[in-house]
Amino acid sequence: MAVSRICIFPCGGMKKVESTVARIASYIVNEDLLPGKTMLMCVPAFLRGVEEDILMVENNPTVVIDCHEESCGSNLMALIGIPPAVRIYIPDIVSQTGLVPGRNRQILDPVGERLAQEVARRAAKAAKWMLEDANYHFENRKVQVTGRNLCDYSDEAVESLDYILIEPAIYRPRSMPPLWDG
Amino acid sequence: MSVEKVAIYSCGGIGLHVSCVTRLAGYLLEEELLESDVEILDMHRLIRGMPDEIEIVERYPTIILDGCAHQCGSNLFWLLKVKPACRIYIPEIIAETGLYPGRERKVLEESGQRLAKEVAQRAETIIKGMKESSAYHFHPKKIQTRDLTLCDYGVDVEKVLGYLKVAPGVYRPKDMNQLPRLEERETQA
Repeated sequence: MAVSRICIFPCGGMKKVESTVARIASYIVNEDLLPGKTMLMCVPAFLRGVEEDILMVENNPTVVIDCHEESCGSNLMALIGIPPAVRIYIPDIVSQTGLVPGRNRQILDPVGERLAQEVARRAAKAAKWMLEDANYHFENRKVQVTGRNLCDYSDEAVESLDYILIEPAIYRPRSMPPLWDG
Repeated sequence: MSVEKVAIYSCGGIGLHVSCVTRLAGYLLEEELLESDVEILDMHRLIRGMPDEIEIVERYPTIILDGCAHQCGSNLFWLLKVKPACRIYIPEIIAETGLYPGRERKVLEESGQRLAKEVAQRAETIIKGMKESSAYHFHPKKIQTRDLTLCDYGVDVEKVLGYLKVAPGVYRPKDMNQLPRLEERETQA
């Protein structure tokens, strides 16, 4: 099935500055880099059962942006039984580029803004690939909503995604279709 | 048990501009208005199961900032079978004050910033009342996390949490403690 839109799922947390970086990066992709081609997954609305947020993750490939090694975004995807198409991992981008999140959560410092731009560029690259490559196919999936355990810290869920590195900071689950690594 | 700190749970959404308002209100409370009295509850880390986040929700009374009519913040508390100390409902504050979230999500416009400040100030009054009143008590609680059903929009969260409207834009579960400063003021009014 050809891909017409991409679901972007930034970590969306509040405590760490990195989560502001992930959120701003997703706005940059959604509003500036790929307008009309992406949707933002709202976790609280998803858990609430808002139909739009369930359908966007079931019917479109998802780019999850994990801001920290806690990998809250990937964990939720594993929990609901829908592997993301791609994961962007901000700690790798920090190591590779030397850009840091800064110290301001309300409005990013200039350095955090530059990091957000870099995160957005990589997320958009992966999204654009899926949108434009005629050989990329995505199969709709159904979220698993019953018998779920929340707040259960373990590495098992994230490890079950079996991520493989495509290029620095960009990963995909082994079970998902290849991108430019195929 | 007296109140050591109060947890602030901004709805944590991403798509709607009003979710940015709830975030900013949370940051204003933790960074500027009530630094040592407030702890932000990070919903994503809570769901991940980070022990420090679970401790916040179990140990401190929580004020939920529900950004929109979906009431996702309240929904998560219902899901985990705990009750907030109260909930501030932003749509009613918008209706009352005429302040709007605006149209910018990356950095809120002035109207959105003023709305966030208004929300933070209302929370500040409630928190000060909880901290200062000897009549306010809070007992630690345990969240329930096993075998849950997610994504059930049929749940009427206001009903299951037993919300009682105690002031414009402010609700509390009827079996939770009265909010000292706020409800006294409302009764006098």
